[in-house]
Amino acid sequence: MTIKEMLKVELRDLVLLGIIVAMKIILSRFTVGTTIVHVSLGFIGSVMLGYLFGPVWGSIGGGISDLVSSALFGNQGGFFLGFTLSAMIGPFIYGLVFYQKPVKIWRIILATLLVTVVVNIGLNTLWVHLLYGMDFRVVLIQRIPKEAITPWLEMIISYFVLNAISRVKIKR
Amino acid sequence: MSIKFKNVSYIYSPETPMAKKGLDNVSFELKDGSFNAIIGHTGSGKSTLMQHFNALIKPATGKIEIAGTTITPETTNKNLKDLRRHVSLVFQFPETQLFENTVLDDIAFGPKNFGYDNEKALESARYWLKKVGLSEEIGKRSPFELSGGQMRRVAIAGVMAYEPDILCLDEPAAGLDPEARKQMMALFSDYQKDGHTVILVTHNMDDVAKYADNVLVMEQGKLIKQDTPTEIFKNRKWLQEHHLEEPKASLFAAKLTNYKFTKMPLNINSLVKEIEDNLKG
Repeated sequence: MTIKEMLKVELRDLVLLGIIVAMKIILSRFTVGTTIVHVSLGFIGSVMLGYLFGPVWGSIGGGISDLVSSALFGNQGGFFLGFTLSAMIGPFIYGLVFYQKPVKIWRIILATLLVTVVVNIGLNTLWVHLLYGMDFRVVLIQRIPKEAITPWLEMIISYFVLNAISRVKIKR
Repeated sequence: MSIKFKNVSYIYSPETPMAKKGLDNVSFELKDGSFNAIIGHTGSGKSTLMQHFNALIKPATGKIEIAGTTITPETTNKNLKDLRRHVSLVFQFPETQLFENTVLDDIAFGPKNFGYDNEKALESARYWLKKVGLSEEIGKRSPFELSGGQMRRVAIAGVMAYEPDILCLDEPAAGLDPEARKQMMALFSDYQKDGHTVILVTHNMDDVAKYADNVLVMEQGKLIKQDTPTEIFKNRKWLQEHHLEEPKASLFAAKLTNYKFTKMPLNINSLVKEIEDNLKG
């Protein structure tokens, strides 16, 4: 597949992409859980982007969602392009694993773990390290407890979300 | 157990520059088992009022007594489930809230949520599916495969399946064909006659004249009149002042000169009868 083919998109799908991006932005404004462990629902938007649009358009959508949401609501600690990259890689990974494939539990576990390790633990720690000059390992240790719990919750939520949207996708 | 509103006010985004009065000192009482219509033009506070009925929004000041529950500004979101089991809202375009795998599961969702066991929920789902005029075969299909009108019926069946004592409907027949509209309205009318209270928000004055026995007129967040349809539609000048429509029958009757009407006809049947009487002399 050439790049041109990969980027080919119908207007109808482009509109849907816009809607999903908007949904991702709204979802990331919500968190569930108690004060100790709270999960932002933005990952649901990433899962939908990857599942519905694949890695290429999914990561474009992810990038746009980060830019739009920081334009609308601002970013905690200012704008930093690294987090835009993180927002792109999430849907990219979900797209590689989920796009045009049947929903399977192993795929959900694989994708969620990959995103957690690469994006949340790897890149985001790196960005905080670069931004604030804090020691990489210190930041890492701070983030580990949360990142040890949230993926499992995300897997469960992803399972239900994917089953629900696979239902809608077939019927229209 | 009537519904009582005492000096209820509601303000959107209070204490901000965008603060806007949604309801302004509204007081009324609705009788049990009555068919009530709420009318008024867009932005008059009809929907705001409706969302108060099951505490989706709570009054800024005042008190609401409904279905054995008292709602005050201090009411918390806990323990509202029982209220919502008894007071149900059907929003505008309720078909957008469908989500389950099959139509039957979708209708059974509400009952299950309110504690019915699986078997009983499905049984009541089947019953209400038939009641809203859909065949049993449709029950096994996905709600997303249905036509708009069918989806509307499924959504309404889902709200009626746990038989709330008080049913509030926001434009339930908007966008339906005339036959379906008649069927839906008849369904609600029957439901009321079975001993439930029905509250209907509508712009269709023919429905108001035909079914309602009590009408609330809203304007700019205020309740400006509460009366029977006959009394409400009696004063043409008042209706025009408040930009309200009249039923087609009474409009037609007004255009007839040299006819004497014993009482203002509000529906086609009484209009026909009045004309017949006039022709007989």
